[in-house]
Amino acid sequence: MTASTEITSIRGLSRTFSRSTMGMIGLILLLAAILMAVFAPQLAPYDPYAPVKVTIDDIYAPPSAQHLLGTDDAAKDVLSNFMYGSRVSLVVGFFAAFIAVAIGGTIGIVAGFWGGKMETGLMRFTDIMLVIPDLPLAIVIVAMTKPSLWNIIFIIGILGWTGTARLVRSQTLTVKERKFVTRARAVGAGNSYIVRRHILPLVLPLMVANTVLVISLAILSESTLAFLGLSDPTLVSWGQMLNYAFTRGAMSAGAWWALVPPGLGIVWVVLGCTLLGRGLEEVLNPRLETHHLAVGKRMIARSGVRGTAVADVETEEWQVL
Amino acid sequence: MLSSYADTIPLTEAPILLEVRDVSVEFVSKQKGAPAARAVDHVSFALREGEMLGLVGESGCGKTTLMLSLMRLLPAAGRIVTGSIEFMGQDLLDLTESEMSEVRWRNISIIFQGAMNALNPVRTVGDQIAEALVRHGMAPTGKKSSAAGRVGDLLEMVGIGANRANQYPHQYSGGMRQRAMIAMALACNPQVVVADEPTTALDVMIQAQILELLDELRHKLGLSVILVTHDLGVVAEVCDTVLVMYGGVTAEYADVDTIFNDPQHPYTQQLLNAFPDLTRPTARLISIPGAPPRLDNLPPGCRFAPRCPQVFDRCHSEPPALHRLSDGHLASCHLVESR
Repeated sequence: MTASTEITSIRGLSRTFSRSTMGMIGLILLLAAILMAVFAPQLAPYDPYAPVKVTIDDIYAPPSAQHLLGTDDAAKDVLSNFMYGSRVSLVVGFFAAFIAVAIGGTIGIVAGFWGGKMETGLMRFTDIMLVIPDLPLAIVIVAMTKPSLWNIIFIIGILGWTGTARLVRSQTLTVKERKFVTRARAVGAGNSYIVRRHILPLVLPLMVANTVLVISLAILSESTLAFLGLSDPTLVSWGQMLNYAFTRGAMSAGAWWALVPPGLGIVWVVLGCTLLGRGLEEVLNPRLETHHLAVGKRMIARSGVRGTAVADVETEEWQVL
Repeated sequence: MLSSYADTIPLTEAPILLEVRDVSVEFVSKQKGAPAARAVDHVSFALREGEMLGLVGESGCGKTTLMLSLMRLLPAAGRIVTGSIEFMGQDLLDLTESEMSEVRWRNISIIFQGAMNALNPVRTVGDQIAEALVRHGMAPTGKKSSAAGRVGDLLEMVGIGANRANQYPHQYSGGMRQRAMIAMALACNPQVVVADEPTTALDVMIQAQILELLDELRHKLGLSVILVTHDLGVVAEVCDTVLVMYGGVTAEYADVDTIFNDPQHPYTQQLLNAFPDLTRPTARLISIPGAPPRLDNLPPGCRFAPRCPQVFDRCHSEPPALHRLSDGHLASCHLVESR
């Protein structure tokens, strides 16, 4: 394939994607969160890790000019905490989802493609992992190991792959029965070549869209664990902000500003991921771009008939002649 | 059974390229105690250099199974239980899997039934043609990019512009996809091409074009072709010899003139009757009542007996042997024996 066709096809994909309103909203939400996380040191008015001198008035101080979102139980600026907190959520989300999809994808493809006893063994193992309640297991493992950032990423990763494995396996099963796999075998291709060049390209779109959804699940798991007090105590995260606010009387003090921002932050990122995942699912269907039956008024482009609404193809504006 | 088919149909002096002898294929069942279903039963034929063999029969009579066993590409449950498949004197069933994968495509290639399914929808057509070239060491540097010239030549050969190599299967029309499949089958200059119903799901005009192309390429490249088809008109036009299969067995095997002018097996006769005759446009089109037997429930005698118009007692109890008539014309029917 030449470079030019590759570029046009990427352009084509992005064009299709930009038509998906849901996907675009998700992308914007997620990009904004990522920008905030990356530039937190520049954006945040205070450093949440710097020690502060506390007077009684500084604790749960309501929003003011100095503290736009007020202060928390330790007299730290909630807005700064919120900005820094997004870093942990996103790092955990991305890395844990990556681990989960890598494990789930491998297990799914191996089980689906090779079949037989291997498949039975792997899928029964997946079923067992699926019925074990994730959260209690995660709590037990985190409690037994040190609740550091990487431990939590690893634990969420190794507990979150079951859905991906089942999805990828079912897709692999349908793809491997297609005629072009027999054809590739007739040509003389080996198993690994068939998996890489024939199965993977058709499973990958599903995995990409799934990854984005797994990210949102991982972020939720991280927040849940942090809310329950199982997070790295030296790092600020949204779940931990909720934990402190909840356990240290923000409710009774009426300090809504300590609870609402981290909660909304979680909703923001999870919503962004979900919308982006849905949008990607639409776009990555290979037949969608040029060979899909479109429905809509734009396909009627006749002109000159009195009284008919006519679309200008360029601007898609409608006018009655 | 006859011991050798080497001189079965002395149509030309050309040497025999592929000789299939007494091949039977069974499908084993996962259920314990269930008998294996025999999809192909002691079928033999010979293919000479430059010859086109027509393989005719209803759906489910073992045509595709027989062709896949030539390539040793049966589904997981399939087993070749008897016979030999000799290609240029070498029994393909004796080869190891890696030796066989060298023979596939390089010596014997296949045009699959249903071109849309045989092309990967997310990869360009050129890329998929290059796959075979790279696998069999026909790309100069072993990279796909170095095979671009050959891919272009192959596409031009089947009447597709070389510039369309970078397009995806969905950007091709049905006929073009079939042409691309032919280009793919010819990529490694094979001696034998198996065309498994290459014209199914195409309209009549495109069917004619594809068959014309196949016939033209056969003469130009000196290919031997096995054409699997339902269409007797196609067989009459392009084939040299015809093998009629019914329920996994050979019904009749002869050269094309004999099959059309002097069919001996009632099934062949019925098949020809079921074909519309343009000289008698008002004649009713005759169909053969019933359906081919299920492989797990074969009749004890002749497999065609339940549908045969000339059936008699013996047909129901005793399966007929394959009888040789004059000039290597073979037919498996009790009626032939008495003649």
